Order: sequence, then structure tokens, then C-alpha cells
Amino acid sequence: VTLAEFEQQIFAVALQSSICDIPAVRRLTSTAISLRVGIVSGGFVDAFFNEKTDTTAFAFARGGCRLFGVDNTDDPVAQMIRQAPHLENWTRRGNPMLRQSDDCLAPAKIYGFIRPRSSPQDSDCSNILLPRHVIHPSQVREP
Amino acid sequence: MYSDVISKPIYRVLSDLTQESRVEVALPLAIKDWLRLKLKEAGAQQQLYRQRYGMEFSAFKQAWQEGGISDKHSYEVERDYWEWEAAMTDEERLQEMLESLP
Repeated sequence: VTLAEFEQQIFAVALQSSICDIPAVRRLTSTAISLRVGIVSGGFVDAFFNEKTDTTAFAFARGGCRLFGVDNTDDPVAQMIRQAPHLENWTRRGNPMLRQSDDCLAPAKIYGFIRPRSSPQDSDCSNILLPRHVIHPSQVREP
Repeated sequence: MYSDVISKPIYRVLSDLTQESRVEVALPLAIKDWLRLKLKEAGAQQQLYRQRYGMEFSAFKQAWQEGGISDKHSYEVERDYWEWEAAMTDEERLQEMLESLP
């Protein structure tokens, strides 16, 4: 996957979603790209890809707090992600952590692999309500 | 004819910047300068992160993997990881580009 292909994938997914704003490229260099996708119900998803290291990361943040995220560095799910490192494989079919009840989760391809980094109670974000369409930590099954 | 390739304003800036009227000479000079500038930016960005965390990226990455970075999954710290890594890979790529030029 090239930087341009990654960008195209993010745009394609976001434009198909009713709760995603149009993505914005925040930083584009010779080896990496960072995009931000605003979520109409609040917050945003940052998508990052480094072509040289194949590092791929997504973070959902709201109110200045990172609520969910996934990457392919040191997570317990890293092995699963390495087996399906790119967005086309991050769909529901390839993602055992998503359930039928998560149908409204959007855009599934963008943060379909999301799992909680920490309990909301452990952070300053405990009073922040998650957007209606965003999967709640309790809904995520650990691999 | 240079106007077949670049506009007159661009040509004027290019020739002023490089003090070279020949496009085929001025363009490589400008691109080399551009690459050097980008390399400088990538180096400065790495320096910023080295000062912020008091270590090289390799040590930061190892500490990250071993859980030695406090608040590593905060938005700011995680973003620093990606940006720092990108500054390093950019520097390598830019250096390759610079060396590929005659």
C-alpha cells in the first residue's frame, strides 16, 4: 500500500459513511501520511500510515482525550493486524471483535479494530459520552 | 523553451533563487536546495523529540514496547511516536533522494 492508496482508502470509507466528515490530510511527507476524519456526533479519528515501516495507526479522540486506538506496534492484537494489515481486511468479516450489533459502528473499516486503551474511568474523560455510533469499551471482546 | 514547462512567474523565481537562467541547470539546483531544507526540517523535528523525551528514538521505541513510557496511550504521546518515526524515515528517504541526484 502506498501513501496515495492509503489516502484513497480513508476517503472512500469516510465518504460512504453518514457520520464521517470529509477527511483532511494533516501531514503528508515523503514516507508518511496523517489524516483526520471528523465524526459528526463529536470527536475525530486520526489515521496514520508510514509507508517505510508499514506502521498503521488509528486513534479516536474526543474532547482532547484519546478514547480508542489501534496500531500495529506492540498491541496484543498486533499479530492479528499483521495478518490483515490494511484497511480492506479490517472489515467486519475479518474482524472477530465486531458483532452483528455493531452494525451502526461507522466507519467500521476505519476503526473496526478498535479496542480500549484504558478504561474511561481511569482517565479524565469519564464524563464524556461516547457518540451513539461508537462502540463502547464493554462491547469489545479481547482476542 | 522554458515556458513550455513552467510558467513565467515560476521561471523568474527559479532564476532569481538560483541565479541561473538555464532551466535545466536551475531546476536541479533548486531541488537540491529543497531537499536540504526538508532534511533540515526532519533533523530539527527529531531534535525536538529528543529534547522532549531525553532519548533517541530507538530507546524511546524500546521503552514504549516495554511499557516504560508514561501515559504512552495519551493522544499527545502516541502522536509524538508516529511523528518522530516519520521524521526519521523521511530523513532516510530524503537522503536517498539527495544522493540520487548528480
